[in-house]
Amino acid sequence: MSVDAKVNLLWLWPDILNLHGDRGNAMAFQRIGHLCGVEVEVTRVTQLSQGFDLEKADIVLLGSGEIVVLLRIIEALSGNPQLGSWIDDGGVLFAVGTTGSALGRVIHRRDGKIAGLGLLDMESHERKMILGDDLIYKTQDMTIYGSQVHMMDVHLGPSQSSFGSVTYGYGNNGGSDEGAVRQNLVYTNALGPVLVKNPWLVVDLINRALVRRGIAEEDRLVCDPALFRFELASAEAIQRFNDSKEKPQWARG
Amino acid sequence: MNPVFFVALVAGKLCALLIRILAPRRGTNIPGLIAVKIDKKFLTRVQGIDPAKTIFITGTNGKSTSTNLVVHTLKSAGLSVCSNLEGANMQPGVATALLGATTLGGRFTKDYLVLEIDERSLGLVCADLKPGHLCVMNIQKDQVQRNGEPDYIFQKIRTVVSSLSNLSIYLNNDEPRSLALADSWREGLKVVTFSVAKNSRSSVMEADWGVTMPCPRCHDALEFSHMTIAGMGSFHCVSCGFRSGSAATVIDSVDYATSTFTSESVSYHLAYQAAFFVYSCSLCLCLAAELGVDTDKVVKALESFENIGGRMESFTYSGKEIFYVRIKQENPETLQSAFDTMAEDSHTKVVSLGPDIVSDFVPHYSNTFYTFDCNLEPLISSGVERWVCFGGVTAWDTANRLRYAGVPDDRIVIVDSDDTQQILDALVACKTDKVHLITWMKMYTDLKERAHER
Repeated sequence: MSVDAKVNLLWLWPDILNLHGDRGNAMAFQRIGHLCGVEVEVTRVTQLSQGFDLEKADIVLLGSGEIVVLLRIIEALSGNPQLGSWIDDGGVLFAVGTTGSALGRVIHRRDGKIAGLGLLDMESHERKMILGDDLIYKTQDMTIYGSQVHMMDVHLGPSQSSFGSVTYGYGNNGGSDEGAVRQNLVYTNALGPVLVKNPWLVVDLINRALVRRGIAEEDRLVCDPALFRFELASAEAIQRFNDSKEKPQWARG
Repeated sequence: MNPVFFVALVAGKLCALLIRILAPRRGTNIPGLIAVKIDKKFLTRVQGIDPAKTIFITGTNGKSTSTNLVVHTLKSAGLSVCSNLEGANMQPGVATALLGATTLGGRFTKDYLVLEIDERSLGLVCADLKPGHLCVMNIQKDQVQRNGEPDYIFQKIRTVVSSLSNLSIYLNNDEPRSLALADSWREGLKVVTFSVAKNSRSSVMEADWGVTMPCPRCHDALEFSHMTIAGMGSFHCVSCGFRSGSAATVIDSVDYATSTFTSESVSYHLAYQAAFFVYSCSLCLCLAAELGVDTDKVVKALESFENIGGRMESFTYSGKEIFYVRIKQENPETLQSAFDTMAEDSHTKVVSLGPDIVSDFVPHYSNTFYTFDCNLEPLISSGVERWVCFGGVTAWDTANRLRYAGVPDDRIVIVDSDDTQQILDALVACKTDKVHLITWMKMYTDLKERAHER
């Protein structure tokens, strides 16, 4: 299957949001898109002061970054007043790790509060202890495998849906919630890079962009398991490993 | 003398003596652990330690080698040195080192105290022992399960720097976070920088997917005109102007073919080929100049330097010569350095990769995301017959990383097992006799033992 139109990926601040091999997620959009029949054109936005045009973007990617850069990220995203309406219009924004906190209402650091963008109804609280483990969760359609290096606990507000339900690991705060979703804005704690390990999530995100473009259902991407032999074998090995390993007290599953 | 201190001193020394007799290869930490347990203030009570002759070396990568080199240089210059060269770099390890250099009267007996200090423990150690010289090799991504992010360590070191007086700090001019510690400048703090100029192993950023890092001062994107090692080189921030400046000590040229380097027109022997080692040399030259050690003595010291644990590890099995390259867990810079070292070998080779689960403490986990921080292009183009990916949990992820770097599937062999015989069999099945191996130390030892059994 081949979709005529190119999908435009806006990769925001790859040098700054580059904490956990995050460029792999941009690579995955291009590689998985190509394997499944759609070309993904990647546009990098390097400097924080550099403007970005959402009109030309189908997907926006925000990688994981250090907590200390969050304030500058919030300022830079606030500089584009169309972001909220673009998301309301079905624009696809994928945010990974701590950077997702910038999209919430408030970030509680140990030495004060930072107001977030309020695109997601959630608050983040900086943890005293860092937590690192694998993370496995289910969404309505798929299971996602990744790792998690957690520096901030996330609490969803009453109006906020989680992106998935934790089957192994810590997720947002040790409960069942993992990540958050609002239309096509998706935030996850899963690293890996998560899109490399879960090409089915790439297919889902690209299809969201194609739906917004009005591409007919028969022209959307199909997740062919034969293409993802390595990823499926990895998922099986990691599930097996986590089923049998010595677990910390807080881990679900 | 404080009686509790005396008891701690005697108990620690006795313990050290017993360990030397019964298990000479073990127990780096235990004597110091006992001494500190008996007297929490043990480190503060040792008499005669001169802060002006106390040197702490910290940072993410290269601190052990740098400490070895500095100690060797001072000793070669005829000075006596107490150090924790055996490896334990936290409070008990420091106490163990001091036990060996303190009289029963509680008096320190050496000219210099040179310690490698774990970057997370720096604050604890500095609360008890005040260094006059603090060297920071670099602050990079490392052990994210413990450290989370480099800024976490940067803030810890910055707090320590702010708390000390009469201090000289030696900063890596080419590594942005380390250099940003110079912002802590105030009266009583001397900043000295060391650097390595562009050389034959320096690289520029990958064309399509290259990424740098945030500026530690303003958090906008940093630009590198070249990198001497991943994350180090000539950099500047377009946004705030923060840049690598002109350093006090610069290694002007490195000739890896003749194992020499020059600084200020003086030629020195380069004992090891690793790019990180050149930074250890740069720090050593910088410190020697500040401490007043003659250049000719430094030249002689570098000629005879042998790093503890620095020997190239290898073994043979069924006609295959297997060279082991050690890396630190979850540390992309040491992995990149390993890839670059292997890429220097222009012969056709097999590359065997087993970065398996991270198992420092519970929970163990399957993190391999740091492999995406590394650039495989030079290694791929250096001539690799087969890539053997192994490990019971992460072999498929490792293989997938290679696919993303453009390695075709028919060059990739996957052994999704920790069975050493299966791994060795996969290596034997390759045509080429030369194998480069990256894995954790435990797996390397197991593979070597299995090979010797046969």
